[in-house]
Formats: sequence, C-alpha cells, structure tokens
Amino acid sequence: MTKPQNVFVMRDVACAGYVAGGNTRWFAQKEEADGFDCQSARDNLMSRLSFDDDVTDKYASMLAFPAHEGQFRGGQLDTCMSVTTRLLPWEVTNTSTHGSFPGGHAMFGQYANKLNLGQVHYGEDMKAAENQDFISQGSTNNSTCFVGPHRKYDPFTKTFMSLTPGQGHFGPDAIPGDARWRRGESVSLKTARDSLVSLELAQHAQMVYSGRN
Amino acid sequence: MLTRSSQIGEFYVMMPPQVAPTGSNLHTADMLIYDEESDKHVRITWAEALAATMHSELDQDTLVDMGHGKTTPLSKWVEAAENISKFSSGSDTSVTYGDLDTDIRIVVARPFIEHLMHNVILAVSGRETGATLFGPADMQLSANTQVKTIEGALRACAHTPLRLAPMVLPPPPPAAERANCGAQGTTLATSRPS
Repeated sequence: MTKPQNVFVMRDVACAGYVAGGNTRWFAQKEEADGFDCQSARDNLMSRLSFDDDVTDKYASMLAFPAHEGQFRGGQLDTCMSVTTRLLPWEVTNTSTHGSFPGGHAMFGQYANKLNLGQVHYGEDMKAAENQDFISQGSTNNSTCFVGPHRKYDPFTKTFMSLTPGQGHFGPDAIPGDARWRRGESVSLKTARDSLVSLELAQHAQMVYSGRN
Repeated sequence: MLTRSSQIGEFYVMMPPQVAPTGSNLHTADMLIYDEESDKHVRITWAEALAATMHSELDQDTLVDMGHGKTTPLSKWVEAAENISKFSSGSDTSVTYGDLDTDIRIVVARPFIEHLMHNVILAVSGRETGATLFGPADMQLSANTQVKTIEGALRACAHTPLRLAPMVLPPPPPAAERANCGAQGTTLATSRPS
C-alpha cells in the first residue's frame, strides 16, 4: 500500500457485547459475610481480571477511595484518573507522583500495598498496547477512569437530584434501556431508550419517584 | 468488521449537600449510578461507600491530599466522613448540617468496564487506496480478492509499456468472460471499457 493516508482504522466504533465491569458490586465486599476488607478487594480484583469464574460469571466492579474537594480545585484530580500503578501521561512527565489518585500519592501508596495494585498490569504485552494492535501476546488492562454519569442531591431542582454528566466515551448519561446497545443489539442509542415506556423513562432519568415533603 | 475487547473506567464523586437541605436530611449524600447488568439506576449510600474504602485497615496517619499543598490525616477524614454518614442515613439525629465538613468527598471508581467492540477499516475505493499492482500487496481490501489480483496484474503489465514506448494493447476479454471469472464491473477497481 503506497497511500496509507487513504486507509483509516476506526477503533471501537460500536459495542458488540458486554463482558464485565459495569455492575454495582464492590470489589471489597466479602463474599460469605457482611462487611468489606482489603483481602476480598485484592482477591475479587484478580478474579475479575482473570475471569476465573466461568460458572456464575459474577464479578465485582467498584472501588471507593477517600478524597477531598481541594484535590479537585487544585487540578490534580479533575476529569481523569488512574487506579493502578500506571500513571497518567502528565504525571510521568512532571514529578512521577500519583497526584490524580483520590487522596493523593500517600493514599495511593496505602492502597497499592493493600490491594497489590501492581499485579493488575503483570504480563502485559506493552508493545501491542502502545501500538493499539489487534493481536497481543497477553491481555491489557486499562486502569484509566473518566468521570462517569451520576446523580446527586441538589436542593435547587424540582426533583432534588441533578446529573453530573459523564465525560467518557459512553456519553454524558446512562439510563435504563442503554444495556441493549451496549451489549451489541442492532439498535441505536435513541431507539433503545425510546423503546421503554417514555413516562417511566423520564421518571428514571429525572428521579421523580414521589412527592417530597 | 474486526472485534476486540476494550476496557475503560469511570469514576463518580460523592459529596455531602453543599447547602443546607430544605427538607429531610435523608439520602442527601447518596448517589445514583447506572448498573449495566440489570439495566437500571442503583442508589449508592454514603455509608456503604465509606465502608468500601476499607479505611479501618489503612494507616490512620496517612496524609490525605487537600490540594494546594495541604493535607489532613486519614483519621480526621474518617471522623468527618462518619459525621456525614450519620447525617445522610438519619442514624444519629443529633448531627446537624453545621457539623458537616462539606469538602469531604468519596471517589467511587468503576475501572475495567469491558465490552467487545467493533472496529472498522475505511479506505478510499479503487486505486486511490494506493494499489501498485506490482509484487505482493501488503493488504487487500475487497471482495473476490483473488480474481481482482490476477486481473490487476494483467492490466498492470499492459499499462507499463505505455510510459516507455507505444505498443498495441491486447484487447480486454469480453464482459461475459470477465463476469464468469467473478469480476465486479460495478467498482472503480475492476470496471474498464470492453
């Protein structure tokens, strides 16, 4: 091929199927009892990334970290963060401290040790990952997180909830119905959302569950 | 289309109410996020997220970044976070809005959201892709590639002498014969006058 400028590879243009990671179970949740601990978080994290449960195929998805508003105002943590030992590009070129980690570099040190976060990237084919190759000698885990759509209390709205828009590639909002296009059904985002009863959809989207005193 | 597994993560920021609630305190520090497996919104309570930080197993003297070079010990952060938990869950009505540190946050991360993703290769049609028609191609994009390669090679041999010296071109095969070979006369790459 002599004119590569006339050939373009568009990566990740549409979902073909859901694999894991999109539920609301905690990595730190103990399996056989109530409560949370680091041992469970460490085990469940590796269980998820290695897909070691072929039978039930139930994996956890979420972690929680202490943080402070000042870290957002200071700019260390704004729209993007990494939850593992892999730093963000500007952290590597700056001071090589994990400033985007919630709670800062010292808290990262605590969690990296307790959750053994370094193991997330063991055995990766770095060359394939850097080149975005389609053939790799091992799986690559992407630890980068962008702000996702979520709703929080807001006394100034009629519904007392307001949306913080997502800034990742799945768009500014995620509402019931989206599972269809995300799992690869041949429907558009709009069609998937519109196929639900519109009033119920509006209620879900706006969180108008009931009157409030 | 090509398909590969692709991961991306999301994070969400939980916070206490930034102004005093006008009504009940209940659930004012909670958050709703989308659960893809059950295709619905799920409420995450502050108390649940606080427990999921596993703070009791961490060194309580660890410094939490407060931005602009300031820090606070984890123990102080936990104390303030538990106050918010009591306020939002209603478990201790003696905690009032004035007792809250409204700068406390919990970051909920959902890394490794994984999907199978379609990928597409786009190319300008015909020779604009850059076909040289000499030697093996690094990449061929077409249906019926084998026939096109054979026909293309024949055509290239016919064209090359044109730049050097006039010659009599062999007549192209009849359209019916080309059709029998599988040539697609509808594309720029294969169509030619018969």
